[in-house]
Amino acid sequence: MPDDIVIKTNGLTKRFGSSSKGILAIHNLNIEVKRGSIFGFLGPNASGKTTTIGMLLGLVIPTSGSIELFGQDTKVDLPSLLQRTSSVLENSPFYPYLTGRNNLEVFTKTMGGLHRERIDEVLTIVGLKKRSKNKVKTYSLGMRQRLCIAMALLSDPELLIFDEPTNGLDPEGIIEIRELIRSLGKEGKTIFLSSHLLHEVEQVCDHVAILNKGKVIAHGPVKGLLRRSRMLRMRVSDANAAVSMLMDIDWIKTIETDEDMAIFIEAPEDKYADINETLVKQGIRVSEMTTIEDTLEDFFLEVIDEGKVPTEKQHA
Amino acid sequence: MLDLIRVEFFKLSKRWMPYVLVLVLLASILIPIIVSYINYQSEVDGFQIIDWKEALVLPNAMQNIFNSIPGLGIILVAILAASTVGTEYGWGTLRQTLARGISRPRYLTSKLLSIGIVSFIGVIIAITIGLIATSITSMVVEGEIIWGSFTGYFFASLGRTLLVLVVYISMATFFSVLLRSTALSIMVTIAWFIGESIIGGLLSMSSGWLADIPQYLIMYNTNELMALNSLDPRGDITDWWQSAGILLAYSTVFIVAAYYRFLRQDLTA
Repeated sequence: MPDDIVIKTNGLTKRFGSSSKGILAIHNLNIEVKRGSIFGFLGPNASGKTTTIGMLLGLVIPTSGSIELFGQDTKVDLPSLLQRTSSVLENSPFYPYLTGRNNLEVFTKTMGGLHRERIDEVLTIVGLKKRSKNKVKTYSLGMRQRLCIAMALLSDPELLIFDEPTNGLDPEGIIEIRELIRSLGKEGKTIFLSSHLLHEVEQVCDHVAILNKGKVIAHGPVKGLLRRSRMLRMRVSDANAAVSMLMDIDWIKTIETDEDMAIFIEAPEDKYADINETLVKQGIRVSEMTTIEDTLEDFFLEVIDEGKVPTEKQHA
Repeated sequence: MLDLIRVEFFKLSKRWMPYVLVLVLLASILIPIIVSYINYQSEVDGFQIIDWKEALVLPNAMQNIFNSIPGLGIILVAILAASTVGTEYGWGTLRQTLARGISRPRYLTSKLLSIGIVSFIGVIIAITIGLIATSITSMVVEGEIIWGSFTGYFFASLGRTLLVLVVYISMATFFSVLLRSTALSIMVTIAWFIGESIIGGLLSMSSGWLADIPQYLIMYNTNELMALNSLDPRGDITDWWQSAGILLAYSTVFIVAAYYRFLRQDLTA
């Protein structure tokens, strides 16, 4: 495997329970996460995101398939590979009877010890320094989430795995955490971000895999997925004549109209002027030409709609 | 491994539970001594004066202490083991720890060792305080302490008591791993403890091979081993090594089963 692939899964499958009555949580998952990328793992609730993260971290045992972290099979020496990784797990698990600082100390000691100054640093980064001597059971969900992020930053990991990191945070906190993830990405860290929030992935990630019912239904660069969904919307003086004329042009991939007789055309962007010229030459006046860029949300809703995209799509 | 055990001690030191358990154990030892002393004082010329005196004077007084520890101690170590292991599932901290690159065998070993050491410390504290208390009452009642062959008896009894506790630590740990719940594992361990007494009692009243089954139960062998803590053991006690062997076999089975389950367990959120 090339050195620049940090996470690679090969036919990863997880079934909970027996083969006949069990639940197939993940089916034949094949993903690659490149070093230095911010990889979004997007899917609705119960699509298998947390199970996948569990398998990456050795918490859930795969039924079949394999996982490579940093180019090494996790079956060989997972603990040493995980020491190069940090994770922010869902539900922010901590000892409720310990203070925030104590919790960080506990996990620091299990890792063989770190400097106390680093604990102060990470508490400052996540804005919990003042509350660090309060017990975690007095923390709000957002504070626990911040503490979880502080813990992930304690060591200097090459790979950071975030499972729904902005859950429970207020809008200000969400912006801060997204900024933090982006800045970690700029520092060259590899980020694996699981989220059900489309705009979060859209704003933060450069690559995305869309998961639904345990299967990756699309993956590729975020911008690539968006570009693919770009269309030209036109309003013309005679929609029916325009459609019949444009149907004959071979570089137009699709052409549709809606009930308001607006025309939607999927065609190369450098041909938009040609479309306009063709219609005008035939006496059809063009009153509107607009490029419509589907958001990732549109794309997501389209691909998870069962039946529309039955097989995996690859967007390079 | 030492780092992990240190962390376990740190976590336990910050909880109320181990202190409460030690206090309960201490109370179970000191209250009978205090009650015996009050009765001894108020019944100087009474019929039971010898009984009260025996409970206050060494080495007999120590025999009472050793006999009282397993009964309550079994429940207390079950609570300690289940609480130490089970809460990690409930709080999700088990996932957090393992996700940081701690191997599962190391983690469970550190848990077992920590529970064992804390139980040992708790028993030593309880016995030491009991020894101090009965030394004082011996001096008050008899004006002297007769040690005799007390040292050998003391350490042999301590060893037997700890062996009995190891079985229940192993059992509670196994059930905590299996059931992933503190409350459930405590309940099942105590149910086993009570269930064995009932089933053992019923089986011993039957005939043939059924009547032999209780000899292989934990409770029977615990009682046999604890009977040796008496300064004047009864004559029909099974060889100590047989009871010790059976208890060790149970401990081994529970520990192996706990590892087997833990290494194959899906730790979902």
